Amino acid sequence: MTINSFHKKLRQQNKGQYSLLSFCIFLSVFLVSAFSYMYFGQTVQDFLPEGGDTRKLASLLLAVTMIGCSIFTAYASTLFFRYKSREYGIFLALGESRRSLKRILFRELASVTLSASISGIILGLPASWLIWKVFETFLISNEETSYRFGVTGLLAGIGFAVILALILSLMGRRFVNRSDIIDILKASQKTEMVKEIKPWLLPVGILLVILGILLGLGLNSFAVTVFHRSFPGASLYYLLALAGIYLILLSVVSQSRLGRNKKKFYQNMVSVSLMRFAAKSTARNMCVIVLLLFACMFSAFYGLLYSNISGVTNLTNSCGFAMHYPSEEDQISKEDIDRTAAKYQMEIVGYGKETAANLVISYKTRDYDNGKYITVDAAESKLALFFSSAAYHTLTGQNVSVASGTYQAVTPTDYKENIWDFMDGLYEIKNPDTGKALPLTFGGALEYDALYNMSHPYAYVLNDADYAAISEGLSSMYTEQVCLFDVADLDHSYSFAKDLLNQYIAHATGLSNHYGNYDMWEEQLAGKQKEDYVYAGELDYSGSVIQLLGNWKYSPQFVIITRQDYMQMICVYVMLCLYIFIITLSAVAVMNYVRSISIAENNKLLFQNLEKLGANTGYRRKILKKQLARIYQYPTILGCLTGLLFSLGMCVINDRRLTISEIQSLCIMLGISAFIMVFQYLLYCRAKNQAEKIVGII
Amino acid sequence: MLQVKHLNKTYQTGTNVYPVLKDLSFQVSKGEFVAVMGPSGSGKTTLLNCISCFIPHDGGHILLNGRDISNLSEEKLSQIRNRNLGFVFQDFMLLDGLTIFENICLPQVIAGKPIPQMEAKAHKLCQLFGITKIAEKYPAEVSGGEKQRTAVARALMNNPYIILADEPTGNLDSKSCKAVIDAFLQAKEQMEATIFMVTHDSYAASFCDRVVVLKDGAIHQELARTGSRQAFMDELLNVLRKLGGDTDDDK
Repeated sequence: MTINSFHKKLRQQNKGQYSLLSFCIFLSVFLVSAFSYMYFGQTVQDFLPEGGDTRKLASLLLAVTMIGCSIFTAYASTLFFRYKSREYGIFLALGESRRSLKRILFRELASVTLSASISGIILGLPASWLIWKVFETFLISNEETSYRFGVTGLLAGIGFAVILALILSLMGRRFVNRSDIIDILKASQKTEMVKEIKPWLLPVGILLVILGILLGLGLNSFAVTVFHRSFPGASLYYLLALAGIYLILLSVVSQSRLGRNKKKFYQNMVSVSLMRFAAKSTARNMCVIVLLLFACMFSAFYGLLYSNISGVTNLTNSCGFAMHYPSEEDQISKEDIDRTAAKYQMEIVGYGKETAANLVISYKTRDYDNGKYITVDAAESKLALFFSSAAYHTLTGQNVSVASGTYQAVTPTDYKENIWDFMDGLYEIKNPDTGKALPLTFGGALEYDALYNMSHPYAYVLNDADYAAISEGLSSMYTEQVCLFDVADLDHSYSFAKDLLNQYIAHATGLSNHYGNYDMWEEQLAGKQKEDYVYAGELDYSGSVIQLLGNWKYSPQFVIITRQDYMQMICVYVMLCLYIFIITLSAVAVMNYVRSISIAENNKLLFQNLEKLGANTGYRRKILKKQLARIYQYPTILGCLTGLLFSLGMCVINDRRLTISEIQSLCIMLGISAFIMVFQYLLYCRAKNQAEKIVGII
Repeated sequence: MLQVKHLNKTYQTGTNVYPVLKDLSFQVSKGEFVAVMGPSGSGKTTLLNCISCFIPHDGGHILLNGRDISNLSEEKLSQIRNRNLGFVFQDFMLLDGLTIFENICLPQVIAGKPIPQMEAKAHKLCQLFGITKIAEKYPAEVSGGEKQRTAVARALMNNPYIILADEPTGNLDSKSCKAVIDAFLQAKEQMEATIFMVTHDSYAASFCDRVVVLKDGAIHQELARTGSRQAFMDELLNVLRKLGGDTDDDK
């Protein structure tokens, strides 16, 4: 009989405590690893634009998930240490050395953490593969969408496990270093006294949440619009919302004043008293759950925003096939198109091809400098694409009348001006070859999606005579061929489009090989200043088509391909968001469940006392139900509400209006909130049953 | 008020059966303050637990105000514990999250009694036991004696037929012990409370009207106080000395 055999026996006797800790570590590592395998896999990385908002948000949500998982594991470990405290207190009281106990504790922790982490890391791989396969059914399966394992994902999983192990060992060290044996022995009964909770905390908390979200979302936008200045650190205002959530929770958890409704006060007296002693830790715990639910809602909303974008399928002011390329490029001809169409039994309709001129523009635009948004006069600073009215009519079929000395800007359908570009900002154009200039005034806007994308800030349409006059003597290096057409059966034109795209890429030479933001005039200006031109460089025509189309100045716009690629991209985004949704909801479930069980464990004696005082089963059940319901109700309502509020704010503040698709998304968000509530309710029922067993009601 | 008739209780460990209470019979009259003493293992706490219906007994009857409370349903037992019995325990059993006043109100809150009367009664009891000043404090902020006086006040809240006290002075210093006994005496004199107390403390027991001394699950002797408290205490000490032991609890 050795000390080790005693510890072994104790471990066997208290398997439940070890299992709970082990399960929480496993779940954390499993969820984070599965996510990392997928997120850091080459497939998802190819889809997410470098430095793009989606990548940033996905990283942010991953970080939130990692923090959430760490917190709930740390939380589960406090339960474990609390159970251990009595056992260790007795050993210490009997003369066992702290060093030896520390060694045993770390050995136990290491074994639990290691086995649970390894299982999590290993099982995370098939899980991420399985989830990917499920989502792949919604994608057009090809090489670019196949599951690809990335070592970075594995390293991220291992890294997270190491962090978790460090957190646990720090907590273990803190636990063993407690010097007072009596403290350790009494740790399981230790209660936390809360200072008086002021009644004004609730309204202040609500105010802070609303203010935090509004300021965080809107202050910068407001400052830019009104003062033309950005507001540094606007995101910090979200901390106000977080503080508000804490105050609200602290207040509703522990405040119970003998007001007018005495009956209610006395009815809730006991259940409130249970919360009062652990108010701060309960409120903190609830805060984390609110944050997780917020992340959950936000990821759902972000996924919805992507899945709701319908612009690519609307062809009212656009056409199925649009190409523009340098006039000097020997691109595919009408004959090539007709031949390919015949091969795929496609009927070409509305074919139009015109020449457009790249002219040097002087225009007003918005720039960001030293934290201030300034309107700058960009005189002769770049090129933009100009059409004659006749050419615009040939290409689009739209009748247009442009007065002499004016221009019309081409915008997408249902366009709303942003803070950077002004439709009426152009005031002079110049022929780059002859140097002839023509002052212009704004004459209105035209809507045509395919042409808008061809030039920045806009493509413009001139009066025919003005166009002829200004483009006289313009060399072919400054002109582009613009070709638009449709097919009779767009929905079945994918193979045709793909073939055509391959031919288009095959015809492209160094003349067309430029990045999306490349501007020949800007490059010349940079050359004169002996500066490097930032958008110089060439693309790889033989690389990923998705990457090429996303970055190429002369990307052809074939709606059917865009739609398919877009759908694939959307699916990846939606899947990523959904996955984060699942992870955060799992974390919430574990945290809530652990909290419920610990409440029952901590208050076992109290329920026995109530029984002795004559409280019948119904009364005791009511107290427990109220107590448990609070930890589910409040965070769920707050998490869903802040998620909804934030989503609404994002929709409104982005462009100061609500589009139909945004309203649809918000309605679906309401549905998701309902789903989360039902999920929480089911979880509550399960936890309540378990808790009732623990306190001896069942 | 309380009648115990031929009470039998055995504990079973494996195949071994240990009789703890053997054909025990006695009664406590209304307004009487009775203590049960006895050496370790004599069955004091088992007796109290049987009367409280915390554990079932094997034979005999327990009559509370003439009503047999043996073999009642859990629901009925809850009602009896709440309305007809008052409890005072060694570890006070106050709810830490409730103020002293709220703790006192608790039995009537459980019973769902009207609030104005409940508050009036609680205030009256606070005054009676000198705990008005600490009424809004939490148990963690008051002394052991004050806690136990709160427990006595709480036990009286529903005007029970009898107060059952399990080692009420066990966790207290002598000053606090006297304060608690004073509280019992006050309850007896001013509210005609009937008190049945298990104790190993001869000093506390010497304030009682009668002491039942148990030995090996049976009544060894019943002592009634006739003279001064000091003389009664001497008499008790003599009996206990003859029993040959200390008076450790048999929990």
